Formats: sequence, structure tokens, C-alpha cells
Amino acid sequence: MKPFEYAAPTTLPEASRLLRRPGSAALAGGTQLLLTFKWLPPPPLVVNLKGLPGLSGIRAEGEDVWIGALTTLAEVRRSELLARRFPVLCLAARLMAVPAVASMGTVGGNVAWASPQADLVQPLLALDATVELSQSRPMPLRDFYRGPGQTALQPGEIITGVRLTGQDQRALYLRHSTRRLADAQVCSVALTDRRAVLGSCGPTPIVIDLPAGASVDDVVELVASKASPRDDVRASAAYRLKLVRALTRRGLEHLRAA
Amino acid sequence: MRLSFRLNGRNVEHDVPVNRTLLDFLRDDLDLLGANKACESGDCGCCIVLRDGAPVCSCLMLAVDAAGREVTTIEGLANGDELHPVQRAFVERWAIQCGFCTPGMVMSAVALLAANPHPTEGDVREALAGNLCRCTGYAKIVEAVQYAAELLSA
Amino acid sequence: MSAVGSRVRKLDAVLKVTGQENYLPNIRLPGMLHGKILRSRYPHAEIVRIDASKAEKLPGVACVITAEDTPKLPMGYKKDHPPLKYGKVRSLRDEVAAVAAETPDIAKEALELIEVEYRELPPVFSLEAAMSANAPLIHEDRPGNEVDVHYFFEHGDVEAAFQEAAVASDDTFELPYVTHAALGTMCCIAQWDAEGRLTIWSTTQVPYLYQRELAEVLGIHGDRIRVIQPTLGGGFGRGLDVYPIDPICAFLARKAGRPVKIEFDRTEEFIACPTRQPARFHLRAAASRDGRLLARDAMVYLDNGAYVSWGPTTPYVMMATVTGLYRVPTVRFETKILYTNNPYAGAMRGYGNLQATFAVESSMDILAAKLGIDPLEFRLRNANQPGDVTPQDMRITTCGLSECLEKASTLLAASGGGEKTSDLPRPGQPPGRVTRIRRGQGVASLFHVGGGARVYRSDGCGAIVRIDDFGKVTVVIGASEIGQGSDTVLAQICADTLGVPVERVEIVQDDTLVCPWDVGVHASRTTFIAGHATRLAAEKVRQQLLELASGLLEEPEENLRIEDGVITSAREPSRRISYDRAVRATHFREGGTQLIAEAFYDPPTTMQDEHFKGNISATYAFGTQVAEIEVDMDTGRIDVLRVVAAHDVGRALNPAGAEGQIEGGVAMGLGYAVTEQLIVQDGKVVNPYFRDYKLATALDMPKVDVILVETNDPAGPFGAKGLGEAGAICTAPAIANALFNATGVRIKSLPLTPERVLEALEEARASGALR
Repeated sequence: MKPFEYAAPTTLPEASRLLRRPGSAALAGGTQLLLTFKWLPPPPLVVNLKGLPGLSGIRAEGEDVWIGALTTLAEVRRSELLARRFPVLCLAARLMAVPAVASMGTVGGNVAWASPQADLVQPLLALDATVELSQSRPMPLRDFYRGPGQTALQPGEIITGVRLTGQDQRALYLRHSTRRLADAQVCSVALTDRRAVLGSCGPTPIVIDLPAGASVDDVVELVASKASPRDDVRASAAYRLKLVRALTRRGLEHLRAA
Repeated sequence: MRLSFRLNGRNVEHDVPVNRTLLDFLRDDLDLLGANKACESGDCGCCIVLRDGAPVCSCLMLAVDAAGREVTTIEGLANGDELHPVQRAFVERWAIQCGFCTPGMVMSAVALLAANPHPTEGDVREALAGNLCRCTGYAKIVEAVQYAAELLSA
Repeated sequence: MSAVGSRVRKLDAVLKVTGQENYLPNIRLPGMLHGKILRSRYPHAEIVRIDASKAEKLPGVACVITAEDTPKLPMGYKKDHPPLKYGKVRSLRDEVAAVAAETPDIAKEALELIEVEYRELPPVFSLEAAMSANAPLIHEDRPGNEVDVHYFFEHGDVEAAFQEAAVASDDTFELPYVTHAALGTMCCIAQWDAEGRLTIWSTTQVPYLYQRELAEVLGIHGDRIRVIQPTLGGGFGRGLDVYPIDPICAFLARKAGRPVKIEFDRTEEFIACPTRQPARFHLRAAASRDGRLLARDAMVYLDNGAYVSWGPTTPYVMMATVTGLYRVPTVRFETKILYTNNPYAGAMRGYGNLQATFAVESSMDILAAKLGIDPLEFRLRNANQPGDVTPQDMRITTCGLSECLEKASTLLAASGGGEKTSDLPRPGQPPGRVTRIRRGQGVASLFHVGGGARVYRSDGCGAIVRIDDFGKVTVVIGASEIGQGSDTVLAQICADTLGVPVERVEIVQDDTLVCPWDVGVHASRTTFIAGHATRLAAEKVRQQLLELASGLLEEPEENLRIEDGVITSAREPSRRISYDRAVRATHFREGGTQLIAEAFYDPPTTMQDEHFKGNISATYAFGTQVAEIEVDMDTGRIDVLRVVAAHDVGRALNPAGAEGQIEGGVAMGLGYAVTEQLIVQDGKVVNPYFRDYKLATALDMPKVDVILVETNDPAGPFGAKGLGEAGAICTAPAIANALFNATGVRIKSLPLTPERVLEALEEARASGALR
């Protein structure tokens, strides 16, 4: 790969200063960033965030659960706290990455990726997560995404963590892929009683608030109407729409039967 | 950059360019050719080594990112002539055909058994889901890992 | 204790499990350069101009070559394939120029500096387009786009058979592009010496044919080339031909005056390696009311791609299955093979048999359904039997087909349903529950060569066996170990023939300078033919040992036994000598001799005549697989829960090795059925990475029960038949038949992707065909 500059800051202000340089890229787990090095020239500066203290861990804080941005997917998967309070996150972390990728990939990396395929993001959106940032005030994750591949991150800013309130043992994540684990998702639905979040159905994750008391059929139609998938090498748009309907219906029936 | 880390139980210091993956560094600079290059996209597992005991795709890691860490490769498993129980199990259970996936497969198995000494068959298959094999169909690999669990607990 | 028949440890296992194996990419030579190939920008275009001047000036570049640097001699079965293209390009894979540089990165950078001007030509991407009246010509020296390879076989009056039939089927099956996806990518190192002799390290599976072909392409005499095949990271048929990488590497090395290595990265591997032959397989079949097969009529269309490799020879094998799998008295087989601007196909494990067996075994189920006969029963009624001669004069000697059919089905039925072993929720299913799932079972069998395949003038293999002063036995053999375990089996055969422990035996292979000739690793022939060669040479050495010991022990030869490395008199057990002592005794004396012997085994088979008749193999392999699947009725996703694979292997010389080959074959067959497809759109491979070319993982593989049926074939070494390909051949139709069993839906194209299955389920629901 072509050469680039590299820095491994140990304080947040230092990281911020480095990331303000145009074209610089943050390196957390590296599982996304290093993939791009295969096909594109690397950024002029790579800033390794893993030396920053205090950004790792999963903690109960009062009613909240805080997950540090540098927490790995493997840690999310193994977390007993999350298994008790928000087991859907453990499931998403388990489904989305094989062990060698899960030990590297981070929560912050997945959130910052701003992709409609980001498997942690969908359940986090369904659970009404708040994203915490190094310069700005915390904001609902929902507001963090501004468009395809675009987040509210300011120049020099990084995600420091995500925060969830309360608990939800019922939230579902239904993820369709051809193979059983870590296979690129074709279409996915994160589902609670109040919200559905679609993955791989448009250029961003699609958040749909569900009206209370609606029938399964009505919810399915509502959710399907918000999906705008495309044809790609993995599946056609038509198939994805069928999946949206099938997974939403299946998820709602499961939620309502419980 | 000057890289300092622990490799297979020994301290190592080496100059390494920043734009080099851990895989290329191991193979080209340190002549540790056990980890294989087969996809460079984190999809096949042939390059898996252990970083602080956890499996990582060395093709998706910068070499400089090993700083201060403990890296274990296939070359660091055997104790002289004595094979690691996982290696022994692979040999005895015919879990190897062409062998290209074997080092990565073994490292994944070592990591699994360290975290979960009594895995079910499902646990083993899941732990190896990131290690592709085109020769064996995985059947004997799974058996070998279960056998290795027995050897380790004995 | 006999080595043959026991699970002797694989000879190279320890080397591999400690990361010490010397795979081709690990080889470095002093002064070695790295080569990269520039490929075409268009699928069909004239090459107007190539300007490599900027690339040549890049620091670190040793040389750049185009076709002008070569004698422009073509390669391949039909000699239509120049290594570096001139005049025009015919596919996106086409090699236009190549660079040798100090590092792979510099070589890559240099490629970007080579300027190529093209004039685009209208491309041809489909069979229809290739056949149409005004189709652009792919090869202008030909009158049309039909490849100069023809198959037509007829036996009996097919139309009359269809007239008298009670039921008939008429279906078109579409078989896709898939690829070997070996984990070790294609690689080549070329080095010339000062006398103009070339040493080439290659991922070939046929070093001697490769040596001959490469000599022709390079325009030098074959004895100037030494081919070394180091340890491979898999082959699966990929290494059966000479490909542009090979002469290009040699040309670069010659021009640079230094050794050159070209190693494909994964993307290039997907793009540039030959594929399995895709096929449009039109098959009619007919049966009588009492369930006897009456006729088959096959018309097979093949998209050959831009150049001829082994793809258009796959109909030899397809034909054998159409005429030979189950007893069918009347049969016709014809092909039409077209050039297009798509990637060209080559040899891949099964060599046409996966395609043909999918068609034949799907149509068997279709006929069974029309007759109202159980699919298993229908097959048993028509099963090949020992002594049969197929319409193509293939002589069935031992045949375990009925036993395979019965044992596979019985085991599946007896042990209850398969269960997924992991608690990981299935894709698209909520945790802890599965909803809207249907289960089904399907059966399919295979018929393949089991004792070599005389498709070349020689189907032989030579072996040299020697014993050194330390008692080490070396088998120097032309056959190649490509990961399948042939080395170990040969060591077992040698050890048992000689009477020495298998640990004393080592195999030396894969060097054309040293080893006797072998036609190569293909057609599941290595155990059979190399096994015989080894046995014959070892028998000669055994004879030498006995003669020698007879003198040393003063015992007649007929009284002597060799067991566990000790030569003992049966009559007087105190008269004994260890074999290595005997070797030293005969060597270190005046007029001394060494123990060494050779044998060349070429099986008693015939090439097919111009009517495609001939007994090309010394024996034939059979097998049956039964698959149990679950279908998610809402997403179309298939989960394969269980495969029982019963294979007639003659004799399992190493049961662990045999099981491993079959288990691996099932994985490849399962991939062909449900997860793998090389997606080619407008001549371009659009999924050249593992993320989207989906190999089954450990979690996707079902429990596979292997039943080794031993028919003890007298023609085989210790009774064995070949089995390297068998495991992959019939898995896909077993799964497709299971889909039909579960849902009433018959899909005639592969892979059975969730999308395709769901569409078929919806159509069936609408038309009332859904079960």
C-alpha cells in the first residue's frame, strides 16, 4: 500500500488536533479502514485512537448503560450486563462478525461507518440510543445520521460512546443472509414494539416509528412503504422488499406472542 | 517506526514502515511464513494470529498496531519438538489436507479453547466460521478441536 | 500390522500444522523480481497501440513485455490462445502486457503507467448472441463462433423409445459459473540459467504435460525446461492446463535476466482463473410404466468463453453420465459449444459430471414423480450392476451402486432427522424458535471413472523405489500430492508391499528432472495408477531383498517373509535379518549393489474411438448421497441439515483420507447447490471476493455421514478405486430433489439462492403446485 503518516495520540485534544487535518482518517479496529486500502489510496494521515484512555468498557450508570466507543464487538457479545439489559445487542454483535473480526472491530467504528449495513447501528437506533461525542453535546443516534455516509461529527471530533436507558429484553434483530454467520446482510430489521429499523434497504438505516395499536398487516405495509432498496450483486430490490415484509411480520408475530 | 512488542514469548524490536500490515511484516520482515495470505480482506482466516490471546486477521491490522501487545503465531505454539495439544489433535484426527488454512484454523481453535475449555460442536463451528477451508469440509477439523479440548483438560 | 486400510497419519501433517510447509508463495530466490499482468479494459476490442515507455522508466521496474517480446506461439487444446494478446482482446481477463519490478507495489504502479489504446468491438455475452446470424466473430480465423470441438453420440433408436414410453420428461437445466477458490492462489516462479535452461515453479497439477505445452509456447525444446511443483494450497482441477501466467512469467524472467514471481491476489484469482464449465443442459428422458428407463436424449450448450482450455472437453464426462448413470438402453448426446467474450472455462473437480448429474438426477426424480414410484425405488430398479456394459462400451466390473443407494437412505432414515448443532439463530429467524420451515429429503447418485481415464495417449505413471543404507525407503514418483493425501496412500502401499513400517517411507515427487513421468492429477486417478506403479516397483525391490536375504541367511527365498522390516525364515525363525542391514551388507562390499527398481504402470484401457466408444477406465466408481434440508418458506433460504454419502471406493486404503476427500467434496457440492456463483455480467466478474463468492463455512456445513462401501475391485491396487472427485458430484441434485420433496417445487438452475427459491415458491403457491 502507498505510504501515509501515522499518529497514535494518547489524549483527546491531541487526537482532535490531528483529525482536524484534511483527509485524515481515524483508526479504531481497522476492519473497515484497511479494507479500503486495497482499492483506494490510503488517507494522508491515519490516527490510531486505541491509545486514548477511558473510551472502552460497558458500564451501568444509574438507569443507563454506557458503552465506550472503543469497546470491541467481542466485548459487546460477551457482556453479561448487556445480556441482562439489552440482549439484542449481544445477538447483533454475534451475528455480524466472525471472532477474528469481532476482536478488532469497535462499537464506535460501526457507528461512525454510517452504513445501512452497520449491524450494531440498527438495534441501537431501535433502542433509542444516544451517541456521545468528544466536542458536541450528546444527541439521539437517530439525529446523528445526516445522509448517506454522513454523520454529525464535527471536524476533529470522535464518538466517545453510546448510552442506553433502562432495559429491553424483547427487542429483536432479524438479519437475513445466505450463510449463517457474518455473511453480508441482504436485508435486516431491528424491531421493538414502537420502532422498526431497516438495514440494506436504502442508503441509510431507515427508522420507522410504529403507531400504537396497529395491526400486524398495517405495520408491515407501513414499514414496507418506507423501504427503498436497490438491486445489487447480492439481491434484487424486489427480493429485499419481500424480505422486509416477511421479517417484519415474523418479528411482530414473535413480539406479540410473547 | 520503531516497533516494540512481544512475539511468541520473546521481546522484539524492529523498524517497520507504517504502511505495512502485520501479515506482511510477519512474512516479509520476520520470515514467519506460517500465517498465509489468501484474501487480504478479512474473509478467509488464513492469516489469523493471536493478539493478547484473541484471534485477529493480521491482514487487516497495521504492523505498528502491535505495539505493546503480545502476538502469537503458529510458530510459537509448539514447545520444541512437542506439539501443542491442538496441533497434535489436528495431526491425529486427519484435520489437514492441503494445510493452507491450518495455521489460521489452529490459532482460532487455541483462542476458543482458552476462552471456552468445553465447547459444544456448535460452539466449535461458530468459532471457526471465519476460517475457510476448501479441502476438508470441516468435519475432521471440528472433531480435532473437540479432541483437543479433551487433551487440554486431561 | 498392515498400513493399507488403517488411518495412517498424513505424511506432511506435522510440517503443515507447525507452519513449516514450503508453499509456492513462500519460495524466494536471490534477485527475484515480482511480476504483474495488465489485463484488458474491454471484453472485446482491437488493440491499437501499447506504449510502455513511462512504465519502463519507473524506478524499480526491470522490464515490461508485450506480445511483441514473444514468439506469439499459441497455447491450449485448440491452440487459439496466445499468452500475451496482440491484434485484439477477447475478454476482460485478457493479458495485454506484463511488468517485472523489485516489489509487487512497484509492479502494480507500473501497470497504471502502461498506455493502451483500444478500439471497442461489439461484445458477445450469451449463447444466443454467439449463435446469431450476424454475430461478431470472436476468433476471426474461424467461420463462426462455434468452437472446433464436436460431440455426437447415438445408441439405439431414441425417438422410437420415446414413442413407446409411458412417461417422459423434457427439461432444460442451467448450470452456473463457479470457481475453484483454492486458498492458495495461482502462482509461478520462472528462472533461466546462463545456458538457457528454464526452471519453473508452478501450481500445476500436470507437471509433465505442462512441461511439454510450455516448451511449445516458449518455442524451446522440452528438455530445456524443469518443472517443479511445490506444495500447493489446493488445486481442484485448476492446475490442469498451461495458463498465460506461466509463459508470461518465463518471458519476463528471460528479458529481465533475473527470476520472476507472479502471484495472484484474491481478486485476480477470481477474475483470471478458469471456471467450471457453465452449461445449458437440455435433457429428455423416458421410462416404461413398470419403472424402467428407456431413453435419454441430451443437447448441451456450452459457453466456452474467449479461448479454449479444458472446458469444451467436459462433454466427454457429461456423455458418460448421460449414457451410463443407471441402465439406459437408448441414448443420444449432442453438444453445441460457442465462443463468447466471457471468461473461459477449464477443468474443475468432477469435470462436467456435476453438471450432467444435476440434469440426470433431477430428471430421474421428475420421472419417478410422473410414474408415482418412490425415487429411491426407481433408482434401485435401474441401478447399474456388475458386468454391465454401457452404451459407450464402458465395462462395469465391481459396482456398489445398489448398496450405496440402500445404505445411504437407511442411515438417514434410521438416525432420525438432522439437527442444526448451533443455537445461533438462523438468518431471518428470531432467537429460540424457527417458524415457517419445511423439511425434505432427496437422493442422487453418481457414476464416474475410478481407474484412471484414458483421455491422453498415455494414462500411465512411473515410480522408482529405493532403499538406502539407513533403511529409508524412497518412492520417487511422477504423481503429485496436491493436498489430497496421495503421498500417504502411496507410502502405505509401498510399506505393505515391501513389508516395512510405513514410517520408513518417504515420497519424492513433483520435479520433472528427477521423477518418472505421470500424466497428472486428474480424473481421480492417482491412488489407482500411481498406486499400481508404486506397488509394482516395490514388488521388484522386495524381490531383490528376498534374493539378497536368501544369500545372507542361507535360506531358500520361498521360506522367507518380510514383516515389520525384518526378514525371517518361516521354517527357522532364528534366521533373521533386518532389511536395512541386508541393504548395507549388499552395498558395502566388493561388487556391491543397491536396492532400487522402477515400474511404469499404464492401465489396460482404451481411448474412445471416433464414435465415443471405449473402455477408458479400468474400473468405475459409484456413490449415492442423501440430503436432508429445511426451507424457510418466507425467505427461501435453504439449510442443509444432513448429508449421508455412501461411496463405492473399492477399498479404503486410508479410511481417514477417504472420508476427508468425500467430506470436502460434499462441501464443494453443497456450495455448487446453494451458495456459490461466480456472477458474470457483460463479461465481467462482479463478485471477485470471498465476501460475495460464498464458500460454505464450518457453521454452514451439515453433519456428513460417510459410508465407505468396499467392493474390493481386483483391478485396483489393494482393491481400491479412485475417489478424489466423487464427493462433489451428486450433492447438488440431492439437495434440489430434497427441495422438491419439501415443497413440490422443482428448480432447474443453480445455485438455489434464497431469492430464486422464494420466487419459485411464490409461483408454485399461485399455480397450486405447492405441497
